[in-house]
Amino acid sequence: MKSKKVCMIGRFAVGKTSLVDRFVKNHFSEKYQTTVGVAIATKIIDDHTKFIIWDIAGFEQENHYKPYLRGAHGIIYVVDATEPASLSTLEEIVADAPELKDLPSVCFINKADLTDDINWTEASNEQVAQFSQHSYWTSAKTGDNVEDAFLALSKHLS
Amino acid sequence: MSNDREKLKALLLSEEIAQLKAIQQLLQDKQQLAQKISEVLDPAADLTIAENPEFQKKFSRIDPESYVQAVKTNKQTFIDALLPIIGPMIRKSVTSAIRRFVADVNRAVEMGISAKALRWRWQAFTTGVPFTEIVFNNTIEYQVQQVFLIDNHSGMLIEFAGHEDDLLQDKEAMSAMLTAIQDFVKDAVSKDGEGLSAAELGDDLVWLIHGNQANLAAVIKGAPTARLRDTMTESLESLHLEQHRQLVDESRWNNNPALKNELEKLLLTKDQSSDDETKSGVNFWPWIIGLTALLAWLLWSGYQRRQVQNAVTEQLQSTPGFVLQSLQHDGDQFIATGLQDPLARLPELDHPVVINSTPYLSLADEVIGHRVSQWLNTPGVKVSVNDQQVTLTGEHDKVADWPAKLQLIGMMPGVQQLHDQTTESHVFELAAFLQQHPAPHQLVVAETDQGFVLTGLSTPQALAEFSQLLVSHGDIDPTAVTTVNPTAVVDQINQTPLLFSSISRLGPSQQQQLAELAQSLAHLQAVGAVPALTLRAQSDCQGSIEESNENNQRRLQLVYDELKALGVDVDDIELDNVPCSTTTETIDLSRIGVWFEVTL
Ligand SMILES: Nc1nc2c(ncn2[C@@H]2O[C@H](COP(=O)(O)OP(=O)(O)OP(=O)(O)O)[C@@H](O)[C@H]2O)c(=O)[nH]1
Ligand SMILES: [Mg+2]
Repeated sequence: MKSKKVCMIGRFAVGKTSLVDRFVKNHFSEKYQTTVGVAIATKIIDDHTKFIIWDIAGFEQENHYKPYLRGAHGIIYVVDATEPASLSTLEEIVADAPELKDLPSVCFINKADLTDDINWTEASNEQVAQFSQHSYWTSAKTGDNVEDAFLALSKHLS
Repeated sequence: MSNDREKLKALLLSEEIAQLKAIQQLLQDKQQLAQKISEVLDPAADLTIAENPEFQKKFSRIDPESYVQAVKTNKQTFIDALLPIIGPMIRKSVTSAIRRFVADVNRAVEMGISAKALRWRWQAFTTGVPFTEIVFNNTIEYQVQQVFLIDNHSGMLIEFAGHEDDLLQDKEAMSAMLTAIQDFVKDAVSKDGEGLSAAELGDDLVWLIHGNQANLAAVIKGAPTARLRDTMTESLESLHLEQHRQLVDESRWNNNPALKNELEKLLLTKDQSSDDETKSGVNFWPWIIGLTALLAWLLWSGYQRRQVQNAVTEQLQSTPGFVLQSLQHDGDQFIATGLQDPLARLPELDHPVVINSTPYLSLADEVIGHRVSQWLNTPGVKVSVNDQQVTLTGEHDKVADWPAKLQLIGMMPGVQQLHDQTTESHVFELAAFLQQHPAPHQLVVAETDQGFVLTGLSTPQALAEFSQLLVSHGDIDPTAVTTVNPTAVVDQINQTPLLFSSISRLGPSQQQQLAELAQSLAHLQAVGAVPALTLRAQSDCQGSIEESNENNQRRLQLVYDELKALGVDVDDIELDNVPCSTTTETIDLSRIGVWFEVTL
């Protein structure tokens, strides 16, 4: 079995930790507890692959996160479908660390369950395509698509 | 017949024969053969070494005789080349040997008078083993439980040894976590240093040794000695030297017998269980000596004093954020030295104590609590800290940038986890609003059932801007506000001279006028204007020039004194006497008096 280092990247409160909790423990909480530094979780994907998930604290101005990305095998970008600023945050991160583009990645467009508040356009899709080829509408709350999206990344990793 | 066979052969195998010939030729032509073999030599060597590590040694075998000869004939060159490498190594090992020696001697001195130690001395005497060695072997007590070999670039686990069941997390997560913590420490604390070298994990200790390619981490129960660090360092060095290939090749990580074997050697245990005396219980020697000393001390200093000192010590020791190092008598008072967090709250002490402290950052729950609430400065939020877990309850203001604040609290030293249970306040808090948007000048806001009543002083513009901010929270009644328009006030003053001809006193109407002037000046100051005032005395120049000028001077003085008596507090009041050049015949009262000129 091979271990793969996967990093969760995105603005604070987009739901990185919630997605990891849904995927690893099949559990969701409405309560927001911000991640400090980085939290590590692991999950066995199949006979050949084990994910070591680095859930990195929300990305703000500083680039303290850079050391955490070293040696990553794959990237999960997370954007909040109801919060356009979270997409700009991702663009800034990729501009700041262009080497990320060379890694296999997927983009989770999260909080898909909040249908009334969704603020997403065709242009948003194009913006995502600039840094990640694959995107999935997910909801950590209902669990929709979460597992599929993680498994999709594992396919791109081999 | 044979001819036919040749023909047949030629027909069937002509191509193969040609190929065989070519191979034969290749084998005979040394240069061509060398060329061909060189193309596969490199991958072939890699393969062989992978399957049989011993193979490599054949290539690295050296002839010691020739080296000895070279060193003999050319000593200085060798010394020059090796000194930069060996020098630091020697220094390092001398330092660590000295440190070990000191630790051992300390232990020996500690043990020097116990019965156990006497027995060890006897053992040393009879067996010839050095005493320190025996002390060392009998006192250390620790157990290396798990060993991790971690890629220091990505934090991925290369190899592991030990019991996996005892771990808090699975081994891959542990390895990633240790690396993340280390990155964090490097980033936050020691920019160019080596970073984390030890950490506490519950009751266990984690030691980290840094290597070029990989780091070694060990989870240890008990109290390890410096020797263990040396053993770990040596082991990591030899892994780098001998197994370098395995360290860098990701495909060979996890369940690599060669690496695992090396790590397993580190899972050693040292304990005192063989020492029966420990089991039998107490060693009386230190007690007897201690009691005798205590008795002597009691006789000398008296019981009472001790009592006070104990109480003060206890008070100080139980103060979160204060670390007491010593407490000494100085005449009637005590002098306490120690470390003190600026946020520590010292209790009322039973006895006069002079605190002589060095600042430090305390991670005690209570002090973390003070720090967080002081920084938050949000009256509605209650901060409680338990085991470095911070919990926020209550209501926080709607206007504050709350998530960013939480993020920063999370980064405060000592804060392990943050639970935000606050709710966003939907009630408008006037105090909180005013803290964010202070009212301009001397404006006073009062909240009533109907909305806000404004009183006090303000410029019209500041009043409008402030009302704009406040209006979304309720109706505003600004009728009681005195609005001060600085330019209008200045014009008004400058256009209203004080006409009077007396040179000995001011009449009631003049006093009234000056009182109004004084108030206007105070209003200007209240809205932040800095007025400069010139008093300009003029007269009708009737009679003599000299007399007129003198009278002017007197009137100036009268006005000046009156203004001062009214409490006018303008920085510079200039007195200007406009002299007469020619005299006139007629009395003109509208030209006698004092004119004012205010500039901002
Ligand atoms: N409705 C809805 N809420 C979600 C979803 N995912 C997360 N949330 C909520 O969004 C908030 C933030 O979620 P987190 O997972 O803690 O966000 P994060 O990205 O880990 O934030 P940081 O650790 O601060 O970087 C929480 O209150 C979650 O309950 C979702 O799919 N749907
Ligand atoms: Mg999080």
